Amino acid sequence: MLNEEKIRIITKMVSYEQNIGKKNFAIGNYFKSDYIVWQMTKSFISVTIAYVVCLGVYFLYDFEVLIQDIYQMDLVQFARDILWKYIVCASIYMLLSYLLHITRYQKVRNSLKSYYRSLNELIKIYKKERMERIR
Amino acid sequence: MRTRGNNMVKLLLIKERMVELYNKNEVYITPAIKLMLALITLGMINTGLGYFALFNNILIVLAAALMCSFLPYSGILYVGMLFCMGHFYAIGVEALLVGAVAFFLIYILFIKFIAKEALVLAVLPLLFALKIPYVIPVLMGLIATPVSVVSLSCGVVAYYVIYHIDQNAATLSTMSADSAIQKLRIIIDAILNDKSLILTIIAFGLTMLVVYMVRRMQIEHAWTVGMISGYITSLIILLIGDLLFDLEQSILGMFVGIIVSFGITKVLEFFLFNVDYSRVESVQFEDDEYYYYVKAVPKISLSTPQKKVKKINAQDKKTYPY
Repeated sequence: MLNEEKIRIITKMVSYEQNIGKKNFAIGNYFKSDYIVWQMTKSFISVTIAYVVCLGVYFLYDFEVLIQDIYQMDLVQFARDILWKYIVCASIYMLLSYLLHITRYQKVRNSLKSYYRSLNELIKIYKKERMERIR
Repeated sequence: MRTRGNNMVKLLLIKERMVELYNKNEVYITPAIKLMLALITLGMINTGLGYFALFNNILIVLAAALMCSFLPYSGILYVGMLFCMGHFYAIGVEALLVGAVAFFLIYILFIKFIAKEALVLAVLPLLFALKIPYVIPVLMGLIATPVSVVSLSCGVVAYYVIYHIDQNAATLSTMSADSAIQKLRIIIDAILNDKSLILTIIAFGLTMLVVYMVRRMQIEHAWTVGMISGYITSLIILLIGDLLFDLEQSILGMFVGIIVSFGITKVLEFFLFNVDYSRVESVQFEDDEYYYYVKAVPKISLSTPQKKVKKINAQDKKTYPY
């Protein structure tokens, strides 16, 4: 005899596993702190690469002026300016990234909680079926 | 009144049938939509830029569009970017460098924020070309979250980069190959000195937030009120910006664009408001006794209007105090 309730629950669970669940399980495998640290590391690398690329374009753009003024420039001050701008850009970006990932992690945990709730329901149904069979 | 009510029910029934049709044939309809979108996107890129002969070839366009129909929606964005880069390369290495850097920065910094909305990035430049970009911020305000400001801003930046490279293409092609840095400066200056770029980002961002806040209010016709507030916000900010920065934009064009956009958003509202486009799920699993092959079809039901019966002569005399 088919148990319709069981089929309904499994269908929803399998559908979840095959779609959004794939990504969520990957995130849910991490502890919150590990996930955030990993994502922040990736963000740090991204923003550093982006800054270096922008700097490269800036040097190309101002190439003639830089070549002319290179001997009159205070190179230490110039490097310090570049570093400060980098720190400001990176801080803003990392803050945004932190907010995004902490919200995302919380959403995923909530979504996984409802999946595990369905799993518990399913376990109960199986236990009940087994008991009926034994009787 | 009654005729209007009947018409509304007819329209809702048509919508219900369309959603049902979509749910049943989702496997074919989604790739067909992607194919159409890819063809329109690539066609418009070729019409607007069209410098690289290879990408103008209809067979290449068809092959690329067909490939997009099997990829996620973001595939249209990446193929579109590739086409743009091909055309930039035909203009000059400097144009390719600026375009590639802009796209690379959008990708490396922001794609994680907007992974689900990559299509906005592809569609927004197209709507700019059609003079109706105002649709997108309002639509995003209706269906998305405030994070979508990022995808809107990236879309605006992408459009302005493409626009300025295209605008300066003639100048760049007349310059000698030795003046590479000069060419680079021309493009970068044009992009960075364009005040309408910042103005558009502010206008679209605020419009989206206004629409988002209004549609979440507990008021009647929140979507329509949100739309109207959004378009008014866009119009006011763009007009003020136009006056402040003396941008010489066509105000009549802006008005017409906003009116057309409002019409388009109203049509889209009909298809998006209170509709579940959840897909038909075909899943397989097994337990100790059976193999299950389940096809789960989402239920759609049109609630029939409640008839209100007003009784005029049926008062209970016992309730009267006399």
